[in-house]
Amino acid sequence: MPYGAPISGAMDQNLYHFTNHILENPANSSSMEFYQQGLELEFTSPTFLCIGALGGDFKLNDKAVKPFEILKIKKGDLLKIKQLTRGNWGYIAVKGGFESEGPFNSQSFYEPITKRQFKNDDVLIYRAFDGVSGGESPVLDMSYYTSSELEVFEGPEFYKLSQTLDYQLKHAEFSLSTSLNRMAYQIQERLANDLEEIITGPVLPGTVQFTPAGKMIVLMRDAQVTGGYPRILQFSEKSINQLSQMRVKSKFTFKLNGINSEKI
Amino acid sequence: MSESVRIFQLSECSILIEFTRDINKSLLYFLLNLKENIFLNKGEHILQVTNTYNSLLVIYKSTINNFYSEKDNFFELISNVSTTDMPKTPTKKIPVCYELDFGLDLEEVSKKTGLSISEIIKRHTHPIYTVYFIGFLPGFPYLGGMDSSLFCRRKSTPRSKINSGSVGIAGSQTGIYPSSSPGGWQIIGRTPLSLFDSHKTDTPCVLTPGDSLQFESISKEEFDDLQSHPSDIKP
Repeated sequence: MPYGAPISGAMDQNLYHFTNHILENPANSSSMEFYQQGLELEFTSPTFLCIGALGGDFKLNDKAVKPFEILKIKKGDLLKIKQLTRGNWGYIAVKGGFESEGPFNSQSFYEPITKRQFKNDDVLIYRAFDGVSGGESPVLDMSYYTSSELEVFEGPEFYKLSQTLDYQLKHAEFSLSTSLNRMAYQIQERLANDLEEIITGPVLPGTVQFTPAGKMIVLMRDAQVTGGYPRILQFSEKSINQLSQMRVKSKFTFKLNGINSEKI
Repeated sequence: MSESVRIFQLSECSILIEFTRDINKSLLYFLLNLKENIFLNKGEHILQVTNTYNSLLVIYKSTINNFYSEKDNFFELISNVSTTDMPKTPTKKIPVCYELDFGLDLEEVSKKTGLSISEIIKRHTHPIYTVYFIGFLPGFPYLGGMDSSLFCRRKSTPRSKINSGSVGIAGSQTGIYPSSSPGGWQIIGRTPLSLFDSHKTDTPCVLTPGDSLQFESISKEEFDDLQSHPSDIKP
Protein backbone atom coordinates (compact mmCIF):
# COMPACT_ATOMS: atom_id res chain seq x y z
CA MET A 1 0.00 0.00 0.00
CA PRO A 2 1.93 3.04 -1.19
CA TYR A 3 -0.67 5.56 0.01
CA GLY A 4 0.13 5.72 3.71
CA ALA A 5 -2.65 3.38 4.86
CA PRO A 6 -1.95 0.83 7.58
CA ILE A 7 -2.59 -2.90 7.19
CA SER A 8 -5.23 -2.61 9.94
CA GLY A 9 -7.26 -5.74 10.83
CA ALA A 10 -8.32 -7.38 14.08
CA MET A 11 -6.95 -5.86 17.28
CA ASP A 12 -6.43 -9.29 18.82
CA GLN A 13 -5.24 -11.43 15.93
CA ASN A 14 -4.94 -14.49 18.17
CA LEU A 15 -8.59 -14.43 19.24
CA TYR A 16 -9.81 -13.49 15.77
CA HIS A 17 -7.96 -16.38 14.11
CA PHE A 18 -8.98 -18.80 16.85
CA THR A 19 -12.66 -17.94 16.41
CA ASN A 20 -12.47 -18.50 12.65
CA HIS A 21 -10.57 -21.72 13.25
CA ILE A 22 -13.40 -23.12 15.40
CA LEU A 23 -15.79 -22.69 12.45
CA GLU A 24 -13.17 -24.15 10.11
CA ASN A 25 -13.30 -20.94 8.11
CA PRO A 26 -10.56 -20.06 5.64
CA ALA A 27 -7.81 -17.99 7.31
CA ASN A 28 -8.54 -14.26 7.21
CA SER A 29 -12.32 -14.72 6.83
CA SER A 30 -13.90 -11.49 7.93
CA SER A 31 -15.60 -11.41 11.30
CA MET A 32 -17.21 -8.62 13.29
CA GLU A 33 -15.11 -7.02 16.01
CA PHE A 34 -16.85 -5.44 19.00
CA TYR A 35 -15.59 -3.36 21.89
CA GLN A 36 -16.67 -4.19 25.44
CA GLN A 37 -20.44 -3.88 25.37
CA GLY A 38 -23.83 -3.41 23.75
CA LEU A 39 -24.54 -5.21 20.49
CA GLU A 40 -27.64 -6.92 19.12
CA LEU A 41 -27.73 -8.88 15.88
CA GLU A 42 -30.73 -10.37 14.11
CA PHE A 43 -29.91 -13.11 11.61
CA THR A 44 -31.53 -13.25 8.20
CA SER A 45 -30.30 -16.70 7.09
CA PRO A 46 -29.17 -19.92 8.70
CA THR A 47 -25.50 -20.29 9.58
CA PHE A 48 -23.15 -21.43 12.33
CA LEU A 49 -21.84 -18.76 14.63
CA CYS A 50 -19.04 -18.48 17.13
CA ILE A 51 -18.36 -15.70 19.62
CA GLY A 52 -14.69 -15.15 20.35
CA ALA A 53 -14.28 -13.45 23.72
CA LEU A 54 -12.29 -13.81 26.92
CA GLY A 55 -15.51 -13.74 28.97
CA GLY A 56 -18.86 -12.04 28.84
CA ASP A 57 -22.61 -12.02 29.01
CA PHE A 58 -24.11 -13.30 25.73
CA LYS A 59 -27.63 -14.47 24.90
CA LEU A 60 -29.08 -16.19 21.86
CA ASN A 61 -32.87 -15.76 21.88
CA ASP A 62 -32.65 -14.92 25.61
CA LYS A 63 -30.78 -18.12 26.43
CA ALA A 64 -27.27 -17.70 27.83
CA VAL A 65 -24.50 -18.92 25.52
CA LYS A 66 -20.77 -19.21 25.98
CA PRO A 67 -17.85 -17.95 23.96
CA PHE A 68 -16.32 -20.49 21.58
CA GLU A 69 -19.52 -22.57 21.39
CA ILE A 70 -20.56 -23.43 17.86
CA LEU A 71 -24.10 -22.04 17.73
CA LYS A 72 -26.58 -23.16 15.10
CA ILE A 73 -28.43 -20.11 13.82
CA LYS A 74 -31.73 -19.97 11.98
CA LYS A 75 -33.48 -17.08 10.31
CA GLY A 76 -34.84 -14.58 12.85
CA ASP A 77 -32.52 -15.58 15.71
CA LEU A 78 -31.44 -12.73 17.96
CA LEU A 79 -27.98 -12.53 19.51
CA LYS A 80 -27.43 -10.09 22.38
CA ILE A 81 -23.96 -9.14 23.55
CA LYS A 82 -24.55 -7.40 26.86
CA GLN A 83 -20.96 -6.93 27.85
CA LEU A 84 -17.51 -8.40 27.98
CA THR A 85 -16.56 -9.27 31.53
CA ARG A 86 -12.94 -9.69 30.53
CA GLY A 87 -10.83 -8.15 27.79
CA ASN A 88 -11.74 -5.32 25.45
CA TRP A 89 -12.31 -6.86 22.06
CA GLY A 90 -14.56 -9.72 20.97
CA TYR A 91 -15.28 -11.34 17.62
CA ILE A 92 -18.39 -12.71 15.98
CA ALA A 93 -17.63 -15.15 13.22
CA VAL A 94 -20.13 -16.86 10.93
CA LYS A 95 -19.55 -19.89 8.75
CA GLY A 96 -17.61 -18.71 5.69
CA GLY A 97 -17.16 -15.17 7.01
CA PHE A 98 -19.11 -11.98 6.33
CA GLU A 99 -19.12 -10.71 2.79
CA SER A 100 -18.03 -7.16 2.23
CA GLU A 101 -16.07 -5.12 -0.23
CA GLY A 102 -13.68 -2.39 0.64
CA PRO A 103 -11.09 -0.37 -1.20
CA PHE A 104 -7.69 -1.94 -1.89
CA ASN A 105 -8.94 -5.55 -1.46
CA SER A 106 -9.37 -5.08 2.28
CA GLN A 107 -12.38 -5.86 4.44
CA SER A 108 -11.06 -3.88 7.42
CA PHE A 109 -12.72 -0.75 8.69
CA TYR A 110 -10.30 2.17 8.85
CA GLU A 111 -11.89 5.53 9.34
CA PRO A 112 -10.17 7.81 6.86
CA ILE A 113 -11.03 5.27 4.13
CA THR A 114 -14.18 3.47 5.28
CA LYS A 115 -16.73 4.21 7.94
CA ARG A 116 -15.54 3.87 11.51
CA GLN A 117 -17.99 1.30 12.79
CA PHE A 118 -21.42 -0.26 12.28
CA LYS A 119 -24.53 1.70 13.14
CA ASN A 120 -28.03 0.65 14.14
CA ASP A 121 -29.95 -1.06 11.34
CA ASP A 122 -26.86 -1.72 9.22
CA VAL A 123 -27.24 -4.90 7.17
CA LEU A 124 -24.34 -7.31 6.72
CA ILE A 125 -24.25 -10.03 4.14
CA TYR A 126 -23.16 -13.61 4.72
CA ARG A 127 -23.75 -16.75 2.73
CA ALA A 128 -26.49 -18.96 4.18
CA PHE A 129 -25.15 -22.27 5.51
CA ASP A 130 -27.43 -25.09 6.47
CA GLY A 131 -25.01 -28.01 6.71
CA VAL A 132 -23.47 -29.64 9.74
CA SER A 133 -20.98 -27.96 12.02
CA GLY A 134 -17.31 -28.81 12.13
CA GLY A 135 -15.78 -31.21 14.62
CA GLU A 136 -15.07 -30.61 18.27
CA SER A 137 -14.23 -27.12 19.42
CA PRO A 138 -10.59 -26.58 20.32
CA VAL A 139 -10.04 -24.90 23.69
CA LEU A 140 -8.49 -21.44 23.89
CA ASP A 141 -5.30 -21.32 25.91
CA MET A 142 -6.32 -18.65 28.44
CA SER A 143 -2.83 -18.52 29.92
CA TYR A 144 -1.95 -16.50 26.82
CA TYR A 145 -3.87 -13.61 28.41
CA THR A 146 -2.95 -13.98 32.08
CA SER A 147 0.67 -12.89 31.89
CA SER A 148 1.42 -9.35 32.98
CA GLU A 149 4.86 -9.57 31.40
CA LEU A 150 4.87 -8.30 27.84
CA GLU A 151 7.59 -9.31 25.41
CA VAL A 152 9.30 -6.42 23.66
CA PHE A 153 12.31 -5.96 21.39
CA GLU A 154 14.67 -3.03 21.19
CA GLY A 155 13.29 -0.33 18.89
CA PRO A 156 15.48 1.52 16.39
CA GLU A 157 16.22 4.35 18.88
CA PHE A 158 16.58 2.16 21.99
CA TYR A 159 20.36 2.51 21.86
CA LYS A 160 20.03 6.25 22.42
CA LEU A 161 18.36 5.84 25.83
CA SER A 162 20.25 6.71 29.00
CA GLN A 163 21.19 3.95 31.44
CA THR A 164 18.48 5.22 33.78
CA LEU A 165 15.76 4.89 31.15
CA ASP A 166 17.11 1.52 30.07
CA TYR A 167 16.88 0.35 33.70
CA GLN A 168 13.40 1.79 34.22
CA LEU A 169 12.04 0.12 31.10
CA LYS A 170 13.46 -3.25 32.14
CA HIS A 171 12.42 -3.13 35.79
CA ALA A 172 9.55 -0.72 36.44
CA GLU A 173 5.89 -1.60 36.45
CA PHE A 174 3.69 0.35 34.04
CA SER A 175 -0.06 0.75 33.66
CA LEU A 176 -2.50 1.58 30.90
CA SER A 177 -4.02 5.05 30.75
CA THR A 178 -7.63 5.74 29.77
CA SER A 179 -6.51 6.55 26.23
CA LEU A 180 -7.07 3.23 24.44
CA ASN A 181 -8.32 2.93 20.90
CA ARG A 182 -7.60 1.12 17.66
CA MET A 183 -4.80 3.54 16.80
CA ALA A 184 -2.85 3.50 20.04
CA TYR A 185 -2.77 2.60 23.73
CA GLN A 186 -1.07 5.17 25.95
CA ILE A 187 0.92 4.20 29.00
CA GLN A 188 0.03 6.14 32.14
CA GLU A 189 3.50 6.64 33.62
CA ARG A 190 5.84 9.21 32.15
CA LEU A 191 9.60 8.96 31.99
CA ALA A 192 11.99 11.89 31.60
CA ASN A 193 12.78 12.15 27.90
CA ASP A 194 15.87 13.93 26.69
CA LEU A 195 16.00 12.27 23.25
CA GLU A 196 15.99 14.39 20.12
CA GLU A 197 13.09 13.98 17.70
CA ILE A 198 13.95 11.69 14.82
CA ILE A 199 13.56 12.44 11.18
CA THR A 200 10.20 10.85 10.38
CA GLY A 201 10.61 7.09 10.04
CA PRO A 202 8.43 4.01 9.49
CA VAL A 203 6.42 2.56 12.38
CA LEU A 204 4.31 -0.57 12.88
CA PRO A 205 1.64 -1.88 15.19
CA GLY A 206 3.51 -2.52 18.44
CA THR A 207 6.02 0.29 18.02
CA VAL A 208 6.42 2.28 21.26
CA GLN A 209 6.83 5.98 20.56
CA PHE A 210 8.40 8.20 23.21
CA THR A 211 7.01 11.75 23.10
CA PRO A 212 8.93 14.86 24.21
CA ALA A 213 6.56 15.05 27.21
CA GLY A 214 7.81 11.60 28.27
CA LYS A 215 4.66 9.67 27.32
CA MET A 216 4.96 6.20 25.86
CA ILE A 217 2.46 5.46 23.12
CA VAL A 218 2.05 1.89 21.93
CA LEU A 219 0.84 1.96 18.34
CA MET A 220 -1.96 -0.48 17.56
CA ARG A 221 -3.55 -1.95 14.41
CA ASP A 222 -4.88 1.29 12.90
CA ALA A 223 -1.75 3.30 13.64
CA GLN A 224 -0.12 5.56 11.12
CA VAL A 225 2.66 4.05 9.01
CA THR A 226 5.28 6.70 9.82
CA GLY A 227 6.08 8.82 12.85
CA GLY A 228 8.62 11.28 14.21
CA TYR A 229 8.87 10.31 17.87
CA PRO A 230 11.77 8.04 18.87
CA ARG A 231 10.83 4.36 18.54
CA ILE A 232 12.21 2.93 21.75
CA LEU A 233 10.58 -0.51 21.90
CA GLN A 234 8.73 -2.89 19.63
CA PHE A 235 6.07 -5.26 20.97
CA SER A 236 6.08 -8.84 19.69
CA GLU A 237 2.99 -10.01 17.79
CA LYS A 238 1.90 -11.95 20.87
CA SER A 239 2.28 -9.00 23.22
CA ILE A 240 0.27 -6.72 20.90
CA ASN A 241 -2.61 -9.20 21.22
CA GLN A 242 -2.13 -9.44 24.97
CA LEU A 243 -1.99 -5.67 25.42
CA SER A 244 -5.07 -5.17 23.24
CA GLN A 245 -7.16 -7.09 25.78
CA MET A 246 -5.81 -5.27 28.85
CA ARG A 247 -8.13 -2.76 30.42
CA VAL A 248 -7.53 0.74 31.78
CA LYS A 249 -5.18 0.71 34.80
CA SER A 250 -3.93 -2.83 34.04
CA LYS A 251 -0.37 -3.21 35.27
CA PHE A 252 2.45 -4.84 33.33
CA THR A 253 6.20 -5.05 32.97
CA PHE A 254 8.32 -5.32 29.85
CA LYS A 255 10.38 -8.40 29.12
CA LEU A 256 13.09 -7.28 26.75
CA ASN A 257 14.06 -10.14 24.45
CA GLY A 258 16.54 -10.32 21.63
CA ILE A 259 15.40 -10.56 18.08
CA ASN A 260 17.73 -11.35 15.18
CA SER A 261 18.90 -7.77 15.02
CA GLU A 262 22.36 -6.46 14.60
CA LYS A 263 23.59 -2.92 14.49
CA ILE A 264 26.18 -1.74 12.07
CA MET B 1 26.82 2.73 0.12
CA SER B 2 26.95 -0.21 2.54
CA GLU B 3 29.02 1.69 5.14
CA SER B 4 26.16 4.13 5.71
CA VAL B 5 23.31 1.65 5.99
CA ARG B 6 21.80 -0.01 9.03
CA ILE B 7 19.70 -3.13 8.49
CA PHE B 8 17.66 -3.82 11.59
CA GLN B 9 15.01 -6.43 12.32
CA LEU B 10 12.18 -4.38 13.79
CA SER B 11 9.66 -7.15 14.45
CA GLU B 12 9.09 -10.83 13.70
CA CYS B 13 7.88 -9.89 10.21
CA SER B 14 9.72 -6.69 9.31
CA ILE B 15 13.15 -5.33 8.49
CA LEU B 16 14.14 -1.66 8.63
CA ILE B 17 16.75 -0.42 6.16
CA GLU B 18 18.02 2.96 7.29
CA PHE B 19 20.58 5.16 5.55
CA THR B 20 22.58 7.68 7.54
CA ARG B 21 23.42 9.92 4.60
CA ASP B 22 22.16 13.48 4.08
CA ILE B 23 18.53 13.65 3.13
CA ASN B 24 18.16 14.84 -0.41
CA LYS B 25 16.46 14.06 -3.67
CA SER B 26 19.17 11.65 -4.81
CA LEU B 27 18.69 9.55 -1.65
CA LEU B 28 14.93 9.64 -2.29
CA TYR B 29 15.37 8.40 -5.82
CA PHE B 30 17.81 5.76 -4.61
CA LEU B 31 15.22 4.55 -2.05
CA LEU B 32 12.43 4.46 -4.62
CA ASN B 33 14.63 2.39 -6.95
CA LEU B 34 15.60 0.07 -4.11
CA LYS B 35 11.94 -0.33 -3.16
CA GLU B 36 11.15 -1.34 -6.72
CA ASN B 37 14.05 -3.83 -6.75
CA ILE B 38 12.84 -5.36 -3.49
CA PHE B 39 9.41 -5.93 -5.01
CA LEU B 40 10.97 -7.38 -8.16
CA ASN B 41 13.15 -9.79 -6.18
CA LYS B 42 10.98 -10.71 -3.22
CA GLY B 43 7.51 -9.55 -4.21
CA GLU B 44 5.79 -12.82 -3.38
CA HIS B 45 6.99 -12.67 0.25
CA ILE B 46 6.35 -8.96 0.81
CA LEU B 47 3.17 -7.43 2.20
CA GLN B 48 4.15 -3.76 2.22
CA VAL B 49 7.20 -1.52 1.87
CA THR B 50 7.03 1.93 3.44
CA ASN B 51 9.61 4.51 2.42
CA THR B 52 10.47 7.65 4.36
CA TYR B 53 13.26 10.22 3.85
CA ASN B 54 16.07 7.83 4.67
CA SER B 55 14.47 4.45 5.41
CA LEU B 56 12.54 1.56 3.97
CA LEU B 57 10.46 -0.71 6.17
CA VAL B 58 9.95 -4.07 4.51
CA ILE B 59 6.97 -5.95 5.95
CA TYR B 60 6.84 -9.65 5.11
CA LYS B 61 3.74 -11.79 4.81
CA SER B 62 5.07 -14.22 7.40
CA THR B 63 7.72 -14.54 10.09
CA ILE B 64 11.29 -14.03 8.92
CA ASN B 65 13.17 -17.31 9.33
CA ASN B 66 16.68 -16.18 8.60
CA PHE B 67 17.32 -12.49 9.13
CA TYR B 68 21.00 -12.75 8.19
CA SER B 69 20.34 -14.23 4.78
CA GLU B 70 17.74 -11.50 4.15
CA LYS B 71 20.27 -8.94 5.27
CA ASP B 72 22.94 -10.22 2.88
CA ASN B 73 20.36 -10.17 0.14
CA PHE B 74 19.50 -6.52 0.89
CA PHE B 75 23.19 -5.53 0.78
CA GLU B 76 23.36 -7.09 -2.66
CA LEU B 77 20.22 -5.29 -3.83
CA ILE B 78 21.57 -2.01 -2.42
CA SER B 79 24.84 -2.38 -4.32
CA ASN B 80 22.92 -2.96 -7.55
CA VAL B 81 20.62 0.08 -7.34
CA SER B 82 21.09 2.51 -10.20
CA THR B 83 21.75 6.10 -9.19
CA THR B 84 20.28 7.98 -12.10
CA ASP B 85 18.71 11.38 -11.46
CA MET B 86 15.09 11.82 -10.57
CA PRO B 87 12.91 12.52 -13.61
CA LYS B 88 11.56 16.07 -13.74
CA THR B 89 7.83 16.39 -13.03
CA PRO B 90 5.63 19.48 -13.52
CA THR B 91 5.20 21.56 -10.37
CA LYS B 92 1.73 21.25 -8.85
CA LYS B 93 0.21 24.35 -7.23
CA ILE B 94 -1.44 23.90 -3.85
CA PRO B 95 -3.66 26.79 -2.67
CA VAL B 96 -3.34 27.54 1.07
CA CYS B 97 -5.16 30.05 3.26
CA TYR B 98 -2.76 31.23 5.98
CA GLU B 99 -5.31 33.25 8.00
CA LEU B 100 -5.26 32.79 11.77
CA ASP B 101 -8.58 30.88 11.77
CA PHE B 102 -6.73 28.10 9.94
CA GLY B 103 -3.13 28.81 10.94
CA LEU B 104 -3.71 27.85 14.56
CA ASP B 105 0.00 27.87 15.43
CA LEU B 106 1.17 30.76 13.25
CA GLU B 107 1.70 32.94 16.33
CA GLU B 108 3.63 30.18 18.11
CA VAL B 109 5.76 29.54 15.03
CA SER B 110 6.36 33.29 14.76
CA LYS B 111 7.62 33.39 18.36
CA LYS B 112 9.78 30.30 17.92
CA THR B 113 11.35 31.37 14.63
CA GLY B 114 11.51 35.11 15.33
CA LEU B 115 9.84 35.75 11.96
CA SER B 116 6.71 37.83 11.38
CA ILE B 117 3.63 35.99 10.16
CA SER B 118 3.85 37.62 6.73
CA GLU B 119 7.50 36.56 6.48
CA ILE B 120 6.56 32.96 7.44
CA ILE B 121 3.98 32.93 4.63
CA LYS B 122 6.48 34.41 2.17
CA ARG B 123 9.13 31.83 3.05
CA HIS B 124 6.64 28.94 3.06
CA THR B 125 5.23 29.76 -0.39
CA HIS B 126 8.59 30.49 -2.03
CA PRO B 127 10.28 27.06 -2.46
CA ILE B 128 9.42 24.25 -4.80
CA TYR B 129 8.96 21.23 -2.54
CA THR B 130 9.55 17.56 -3.30
CA VAL B 131 7.12 14.89 -2.11
CA TYR B 132 9.39 12.43 -0.32
CA PHE B 133 6.79 9.96 0.82
CA ILE B 134 3.16 9.43 1.77
CA GLY B 135 2.82 8.48 5.40
CA PHE B 136 1.23 9.07 8.77
CA LEU B 137 -2.28 9.11 7.23
CA PRO B 138 -3.55 7.93 3.82
CA GLY B 139 -2.49 10.64 1.38
CA PHE B 140 -0.35 12.69 3.82
CA PRO B 141 2.61 14.05 1.80
CA TYR B 142 5.92 14.69 3.56
CA LEU B 143 7.62 17.53 1.77
CA GLY B 144 11.30 18.33 1.61
CA GLY B 145 12.81 21.66 0.63
CA MET B 146 11.45 23.94 3.35
CA ASP B 147 13.34 27.14 4.16
CA SER B 148 15.52 26.24 7.17
CA SER B 149 14.52 29.45 8.99
CA LEU B 150 11.00 27.96 9.39
CA PHE B 151 12.33 25.03 11.48
CA CYS B 152 9.94 24.44 14.36
CA ARG B 153 9.63 21.43 16.65
CA ARG B 154 6.38 19.49 16.89
CA LYS B 155 4.02 20.40 19.71
CA SER B 156 5.06 18.63 22.90
CA THR B 157 1.49 17.39 23.37
CA PRO B 158 -0.33 16.47 20.16
CA ARG B 159 -3.76 18.00 19.41
CA SER B 160 -6.64 15.55 19.62
CA LYS B 161 -8.05 16.81 16.30
CA ILE B 162 -6.54 18.61 13.36
CA ASN B 163 -8.89 19.45 10.49
CA SER B 164 -8.60 17.99 7.02
CA GLY B 165 -6.48 20.15 4.69
CA SER B 166 -4.38 21.65 7.51
CA VAL B 167 -0.83 22.54 6.49
CA GLY B 168 1.78 22.01 9.17
CA ILE B 169 5.45 22.19 10.08
CA ALA B 170 7.35 19.57 12.09
CA GLY B 171 11.07 20.21 12.46
CA SER B 172 12.47 20.85 9.00
CA GLN B 173 9.56 19.24 7.16
CA THR B 174 6.19 20.50 6.05
CA GLY B 175 3.08 18.53 5.10
CA ILE B 176 -0.70 18.52 4.63
CA TYR B 177 -3.32 16.61 6.67
CA PRO B 178 -5.53 14.88 4.04
CA SER B 179 -8.17 13.98 6.64
CA SER B 180 -9.05 15.00 10.18
CA SER B 181 -6.77 13.37 12.72
CA PRO B 182 -4.96 13.80 16.00
CA GLY B 183 -1.51 15.22 15.37
CA GLY B 184 1.47 17.13 16.72
CA TRP B 185 2.46 19.35 13.80
CA GLN B 186 2.48 23.15 14.10
CA ILE B 187 -0.48 24.24 11.95
CA ILE B 188 0.08 27.31 9.79
CA GLY B 189 -2.73 27.18 7.20
CA ARG B 190 -5.28 25.08 5.35
CA THR B 191 -5.87 24.00 1.76
CA PRO B 192 -9.33 23.41 0.27
CA LEU B 193 -7.79 20.71 -1.95
CA SER B 194 -8.79 17.10 -1.28
CA LEU B 195 -5.59 15.03 -1.33
CA PHE B 196 -6.93 11.52 -0.97
CA ASP B 197 -9.99 9.74 -2.33
CA SER B 198 -10.17 5.99 -1.75
CA HIS B 199 -12.97 5.67 -4.32
CA LYS B 200 -10.44 6.44 -7.04
CA THR B 201 -8.82 3.05 -6.59
CA ASP B 202 -6.21 3.55 -9.35
CA THR B 203 -5.03 6.96 -8.22
CA PRO B 204 -6.43 7.68 -4.76
CA CYS B 205 -3.57 10.12 -3.98
CA VAL B 206 -3.21 13.50 -5.70
CA LEU B 207 0.52 13.42 -4.86
CA THR B 208 3.10 10.65 -5.18
CA PRO B 209 6.74 10.41 -4.04
CA GLY B 210 9.00 12.34 -6.40
CA ASP B 211 6.34 14.99 -7.29
CA SER B 212 7.17 18.72 -7.10
CA LEU B 213 4.77 21.27 -5.63
CA GLN B 214 4.52 24.89 -4.53
CA PHE B 215 2.09 26.53 -2.09
CA GLU B 216 0.07 29.56 -3.18
CA SER B 217 -1.34 31.91 -0.56
CA ILE B 218 -5.09 32.51 -0.93
CA SER B 219 -7.60 34.62 1.03
CA LYS B 220 -10.39 33.26 3.21
CA GLU B 221 -12.89 34.24 0.48
CA GLU B 222 -10.93 32.30 -2.16
CA PHE B 223 -10.70 29.35 0.24
CA ASP B 224 -14.47 29.32 0.78
CA ASP B 225 -15.07 29.65 -2.94
CA LEU B 226 -12.70 26.79 -3.85
CA GLN B 227 -14.07 24.59 -1.10
CA SER B 228 -17.59 24.96 -2.42
CA HIS B 229 -16.37 24.41 -6.02
CA PRO B 230 -13.65 21.76 -5.63
CA SER B 231 -13.57 21.06 -9.38
CA ASP B 232 -12.04 24.55 -9.87
CA ILE B 233 -8.85 23.36 -8.14
CA LYS B 234 -6.28 22.21 -10.67
CA PRO B 235 -3.22 21.24 -8.66
